[in-house]
Amino acid sequence: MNGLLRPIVRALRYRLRASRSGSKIQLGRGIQFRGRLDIRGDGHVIIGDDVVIDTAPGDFRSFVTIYTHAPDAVVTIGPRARLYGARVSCRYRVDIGPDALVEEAGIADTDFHSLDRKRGEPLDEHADHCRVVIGKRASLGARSIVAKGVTIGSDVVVCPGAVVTRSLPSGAFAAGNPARVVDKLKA
Amino acid sequence: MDGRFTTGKLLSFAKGLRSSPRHAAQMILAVIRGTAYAFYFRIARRSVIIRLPFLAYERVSINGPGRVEIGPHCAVYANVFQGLNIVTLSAAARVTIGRACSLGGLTIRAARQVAIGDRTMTAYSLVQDALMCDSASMKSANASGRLVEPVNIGRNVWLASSSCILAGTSIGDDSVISQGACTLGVKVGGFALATGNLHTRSLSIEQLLKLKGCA
Repeated sequence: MNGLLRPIVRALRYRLRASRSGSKIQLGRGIQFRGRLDIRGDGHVIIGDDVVIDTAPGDFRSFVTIYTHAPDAVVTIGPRARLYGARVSCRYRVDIGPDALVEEAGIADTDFHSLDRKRGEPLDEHADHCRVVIGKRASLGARSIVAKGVTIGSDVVVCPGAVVTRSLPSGAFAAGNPARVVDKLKA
Repeated sequence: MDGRFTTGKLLSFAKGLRSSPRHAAQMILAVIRGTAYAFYFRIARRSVIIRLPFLAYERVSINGPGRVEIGPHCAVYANVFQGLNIVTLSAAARVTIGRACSLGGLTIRAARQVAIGDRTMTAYSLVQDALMCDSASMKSANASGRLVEPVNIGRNVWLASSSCILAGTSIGDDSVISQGACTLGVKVGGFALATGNLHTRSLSIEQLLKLKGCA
């Protein structure tokens, strides 16, 4: 009974919070809150219809986090996307496409700190070249990382443990640190 | 190190009890906790068999419909705040862990088969025999015959921190998987060092030790 009630209670709680936030948090219809969702920051978060929010497989302590670090930051999650313990940090813009699968991966569109000794804000970042786009039906494996400025095409598979620092074409299978296209998936 | 309770080990435990009571107390608690886990799984989940003695210094989490067997004299330690986390993704999945293994921060996700040999030592690492754990993705992967393959880890293997052992990997006895290494569909021979993400070629540990003057 607990397993049935908890998603319902979660859904009510998040919708209440979304309604209090004005237009900053927009939740679509039919979202399944199988795990906890933590949204922080003043930015905009738009979650599409029928998205699945869940923990990493078997790890009930993990949860989906979406943190925005500026009022003009925008995170959009497309319809029917599945997030399992995903961690999203957004300073500018992060777009996750429809039917995408993100398993326990980290996505960040900023380096957070500069390379110089003071470790201040990065000076060379701009919304145009930091935006992260995850394509339709793309899959990000466990413990992978997507860095700033990356565009991942549709139907891409990113191997667990990969660190994606460059954009990947549609249909690619990428693995490694830094991630390289291993081969193209059959069409 | 074969994990048996020899007289020598009992004597050294008694000495340890006197010299470091705190560690001895932690060990006793680990034995009690491990025994409780073994009995809990024996009663609540028939498909999970943990053989005693089993020491649990950190949390043990075993989920999923598949079969899990853990050999005797294994111990679970904390590594990067995590203990042992096993998930079987299907009823046909099978996870076997040999005897006298030191498991710290280990996460296993099995869709088909993961086998770990005796005396294996793990740090914060991931062992996964399917590329993606989501059931819909696994179905499409099975349909395309792609990348849901068993993982076999030999005896006395060391999985260093942040390593990923993925589908189709076979690791020989006495090998070492380096920190941050990621293996996918490769065979690592015996007594070899595997580095890199993705790992492609192993180094012979015997040669390395000779170069270092340690062999």
